[in-house]
Amino acid sequence: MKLNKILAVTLAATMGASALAGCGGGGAASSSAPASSGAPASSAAGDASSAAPAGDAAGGDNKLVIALQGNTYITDYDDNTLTHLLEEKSGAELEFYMLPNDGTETKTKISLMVTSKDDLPDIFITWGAISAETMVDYANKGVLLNIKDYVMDPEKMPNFNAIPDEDRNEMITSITCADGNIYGLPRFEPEAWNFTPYRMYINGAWLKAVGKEVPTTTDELKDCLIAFRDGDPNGNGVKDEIGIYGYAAGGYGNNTMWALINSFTFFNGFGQNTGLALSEDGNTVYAPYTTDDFKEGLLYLNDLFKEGLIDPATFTNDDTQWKAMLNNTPNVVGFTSAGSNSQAWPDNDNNANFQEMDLIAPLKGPKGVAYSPYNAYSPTQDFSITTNCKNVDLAIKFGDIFYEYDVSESMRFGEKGVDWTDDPSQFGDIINGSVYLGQYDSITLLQLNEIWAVNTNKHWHNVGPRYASFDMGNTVGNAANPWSPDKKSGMVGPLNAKYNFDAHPEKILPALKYTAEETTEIAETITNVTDYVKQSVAEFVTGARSVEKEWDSYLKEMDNMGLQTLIQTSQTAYDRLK
Amino acid sequence: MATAFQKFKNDTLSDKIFYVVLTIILTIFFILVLYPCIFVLAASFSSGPAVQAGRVYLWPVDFSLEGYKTVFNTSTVWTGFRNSLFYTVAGTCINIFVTMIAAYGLSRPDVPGRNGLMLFFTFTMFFSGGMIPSYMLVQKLGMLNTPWALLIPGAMGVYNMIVARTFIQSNIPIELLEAAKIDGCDDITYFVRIVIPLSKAILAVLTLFYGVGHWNAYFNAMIYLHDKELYPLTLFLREILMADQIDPSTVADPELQAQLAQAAGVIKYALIVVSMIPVLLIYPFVQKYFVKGVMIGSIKG
Repeated sequence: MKLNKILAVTLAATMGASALAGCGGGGAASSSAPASSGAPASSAAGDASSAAPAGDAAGGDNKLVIALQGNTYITDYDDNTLTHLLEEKSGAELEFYMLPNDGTETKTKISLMVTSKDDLPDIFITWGAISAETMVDYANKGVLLNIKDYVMDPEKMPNFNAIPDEDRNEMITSITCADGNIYGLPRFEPEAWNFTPYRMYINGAWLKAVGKEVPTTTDELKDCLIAFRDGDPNGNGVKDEIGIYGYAAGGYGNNTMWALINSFTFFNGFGQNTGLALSEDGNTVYAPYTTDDFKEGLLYLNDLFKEGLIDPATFTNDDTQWKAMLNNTPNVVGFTSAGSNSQAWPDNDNNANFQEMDLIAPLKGPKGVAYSPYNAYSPTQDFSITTNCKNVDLAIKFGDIFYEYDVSESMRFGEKGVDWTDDPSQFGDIINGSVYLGQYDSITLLQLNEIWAVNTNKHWHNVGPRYASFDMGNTVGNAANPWSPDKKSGMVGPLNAKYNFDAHPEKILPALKYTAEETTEIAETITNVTDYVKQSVAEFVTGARSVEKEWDSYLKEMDNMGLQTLIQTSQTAYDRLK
Repeated sequence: MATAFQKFKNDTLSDKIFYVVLTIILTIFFILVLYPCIFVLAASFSSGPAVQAGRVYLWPVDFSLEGYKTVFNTSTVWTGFRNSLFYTVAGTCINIFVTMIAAYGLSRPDVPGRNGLMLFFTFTMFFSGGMIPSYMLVQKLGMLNTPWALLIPGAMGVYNMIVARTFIQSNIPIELLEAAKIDGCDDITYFVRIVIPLSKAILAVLTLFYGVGHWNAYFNAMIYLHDKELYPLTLFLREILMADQIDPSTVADPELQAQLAQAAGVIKYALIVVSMIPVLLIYPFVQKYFVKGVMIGSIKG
């Protein structure tokens, strides 16, 4: 009986809804025709124009429709401190068209919008989701506007052109596409922390337990690891100590092999430019993973593996397994590398395992080499104007405002005076790691509230153009969680700067930009070589392949994959930058 | 239990082996299905660092309600919940209406061109225009960034329609129509007064199929919507889940991303539990019709 009632209600609702479907928005009426996945088209296309959101944009003179890559933590974009600040400063009225949080999905959505063209916003603002190569492609399809003349004109973009020459030139170089045009405004925010993600940690408590000094060379490391293996430093009576542990598939300083290879030759761990590097004189591009020094490194690692000092799980771990082992009780890890200490050991200050780990400087190899994987900073392009934009001058003015100091800092830290301040009288005695090291006299900005990983309507989660120089990035203090040399987590930053920041060859290959034809030519090689080297290193280290015997076939295989073409193309791209 | 055991004792040896093997296999599958649910539940009540460090297996570690607090304090989650409910209820109603009229029509042998129509429907099961033409269709229909974009495309699942058609064909004898016609019943009255009441089981099945489909759908929402006010819960959920992954090659500042991953780790399991609740609540009530409906449709088809 009850079910009868439910059915009756459902049915009534069904009828109601379908009646609504009938009268709502012209086109819908015809769609009771079967369309399981958008198959048979209908004749209602005529009604479409009124509903295209971009169509409204032309209505108001000062209206800008922004397709913005959203973030879950931002509760409101319309009633948003940054939106209000931008509207006030530019005189534009902003309307949002949300793109997904995830980069890949944003790319899909943008490519759909580009394909169907009549639905375009005035401006795309993303977190670097449109690559330089894609920009050229979209420009050729007549969707993106070349804004080179505006960017170079101090009258049109006063704030951008007020940026110190050195930084501005770097920004301009990085946003100039292979066809010589500019389609996107950059975000520039280099931070020392992000250049050298391979931060190496050794278990200091264990060193003490086995009576060893902090290792400074690869041989001393081996010595320590053997002592770890045999000395039961965690004191549980079981031989469960792992020497070297890592997460080869991880992308953020997690592959211990890359960290250790840098005691033999400089290699950026595929962080950039397919791992290619620059010769000492700064003229020739070469592939470090083909050199004899790299081979020496593999022999060393293979030797460690044979001694049982490298955990084979390093090559098979996923994120969860990796973290679980690092946080095991009792601690079983003697040596590892990680980009983010808070990612590897959650809740640092209360994490017993993290408290045991000590950051160490890159180890000296047999030839005295002690590098740390380093990637040149490359600004991303976040702000593009479409050909649909009726008021390009306003859009440019709007884009330029992002480079004002107040706006740039509000992008990242929220509302000025509430969430951050640049007033030295409020700094008190708060310092940060760089100041502690004596690199700077004081901080220049104090973060009053941490609003990055909480729900907020104070900013756009740092999506958009921005300028924060290296010095600005390194002189930020935090009042919500004041920096102190007594906290182990606090010292990671300064020690990283001290140990790793300069531990790289003088000449670093900048981020290369390939033309469309070059990209087509080398795209497959890039993927193949990257995968092949990663796989081969795992095989060489674990002894599945012999380094001595199969080194030549390893080199040959990469040549077959087109490595030489990749190097030549990269050389051309590099010469174009010079 | 005792009788089942009694029965087991009386079975032949081969039957006994069959039952034992069957029980083992089913138990394994049961555990495979059950464990993720238990893990999610346990993780949702654990502290963030414990989950992040992989210390949670069966029971909550460092009991904490932080995740639920954050979820319930997030206004976007409520917006999403409201929207998802709307899309599910309205979408399912449209689905059922469209499916039932098509299924009934095609179940009648006296409909001219029935086979041709059926072929036409079936064709779409194997071939579709693909993402870009679908997008352009929705755009030209003016449904972009409106709730219709989630309700109208795919309003009828061909598979479901076939199940319903077979059900009607095999359960409602055509003689009933003849008898009703003699009593002065027209086609529409027959459909509403006789076919629908006799199709309870299949209606329950369709409701569940479509309802769960709508509740879990996110892709169309991601592609067709660009106003946060219209996002379903799944889209928020997905964004939280994606925030958990760090790929430094695609983000400029991995350290900030790592912070986000930390925060996302705290709320993601609580949010999964919250989003599972409606389906879990409805399922037991529909389940008894579920088996019956699909079985009848398929065996006699």
